Amino acid sequence: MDEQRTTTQPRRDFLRKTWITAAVAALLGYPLFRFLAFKVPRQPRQVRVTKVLAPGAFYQDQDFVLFDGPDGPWAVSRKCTHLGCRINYLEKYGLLVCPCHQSRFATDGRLISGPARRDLELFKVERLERGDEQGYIVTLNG
Amino acid sequence: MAGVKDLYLSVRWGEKSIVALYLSLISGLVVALQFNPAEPFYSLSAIQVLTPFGSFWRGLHYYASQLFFLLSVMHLGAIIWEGKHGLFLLTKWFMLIAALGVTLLLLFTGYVLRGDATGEAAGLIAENITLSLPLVGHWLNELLFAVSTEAMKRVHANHLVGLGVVWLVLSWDHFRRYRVKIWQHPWLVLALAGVALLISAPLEPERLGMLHITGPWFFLGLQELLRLVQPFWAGIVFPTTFFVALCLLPLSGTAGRVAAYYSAGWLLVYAMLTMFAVWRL
Repeated sequence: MDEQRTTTQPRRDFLRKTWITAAVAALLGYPLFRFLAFKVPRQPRQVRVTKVLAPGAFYQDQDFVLFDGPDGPWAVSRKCTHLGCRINYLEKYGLLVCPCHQSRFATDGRLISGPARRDLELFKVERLERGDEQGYIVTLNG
Repeated sequence: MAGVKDLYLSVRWGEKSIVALYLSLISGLVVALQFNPAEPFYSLSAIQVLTPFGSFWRGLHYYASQLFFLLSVMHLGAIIWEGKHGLFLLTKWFMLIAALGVTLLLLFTGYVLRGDATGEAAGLIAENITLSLPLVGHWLNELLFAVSTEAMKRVHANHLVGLGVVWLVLSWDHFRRYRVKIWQHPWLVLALAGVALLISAPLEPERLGMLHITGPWFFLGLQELLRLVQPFWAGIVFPTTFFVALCLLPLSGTAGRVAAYYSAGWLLVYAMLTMFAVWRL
């Protein structure tokens, strides 16, 4: 009887400690993760590009690549839809290429080849025509 | 073969790794006193180019940290080759393997903190891989990375404090048994200082039309796999199986043998993937 008690006691202790640890972790974990996950809501950000692009030219910002054409200007996000790396525009090939895993996109953001599976995000672009100041206003999502 | 084994086992890998850790901690603290996580790349460039002895301290931190990881791996290899892993309690062994994983995360967050082309891409990739984990991925990302929303805030806090504390908790029972003085290995200290003086630690600014970014050396295999397989399988499942196999090594009988064969096979596959990635450069 005593022998049985000595063999089952450590297991009971271990289980009790495990339950207590799990309960404490859950109690502290929830407020911790709620705290960490909170984000201050952001307004959409506007970027002014104060130059007019000639046909075929482009403007590369930190977050987007801007083009202009007969149907109006457009801007594609530089965030690759595979794993978020910052893509680059290769003027020579007319392609947007991710330097991390070489996903390729057309200038309109259309996916050409993976490993990405989705097209690039497009941003709203307006022409800026205010007196001497000419160019574009690109609205990035918040 | 026996000669190679004797030679390998005669080296005191564990002691040397602790000396490398000391140097990594001291130099890391020095670099942190100048580093500004709000402008990581600008700050590191200034440390590297303008600050007196900045290149030396940063180099010492970089090389000592890399060496600490490599020597820890060699130490683990020696323990396994000697068959001593079977003597460990499974929970203790698990904690030490987890500590090695945390060391890898410390190295990785160090890369991310550079804020250069490689660091930024590494951070974003880690964030997206973590987010691919069902249920807890979001929370884990908020805890470890959140690079796209919080920039270097979380990574910096984890690199400086969080991961270090976790590492110490996991390895304290093992670590406290060994009293190693930094001057017990003067040649190692001198060699590291010499390398830090002569060779600058890497820093890669973003270039227009950059076609290829190479990740940290230990993630090259993963980078290659991510080209072929979706993030959850390549970035979560594949590495986790290796971690589990390592944890199960001390088991006796078939389970231990299967874990050993799987670990060896995994390493072989990873080495091949790494070679592919290097070949692409």
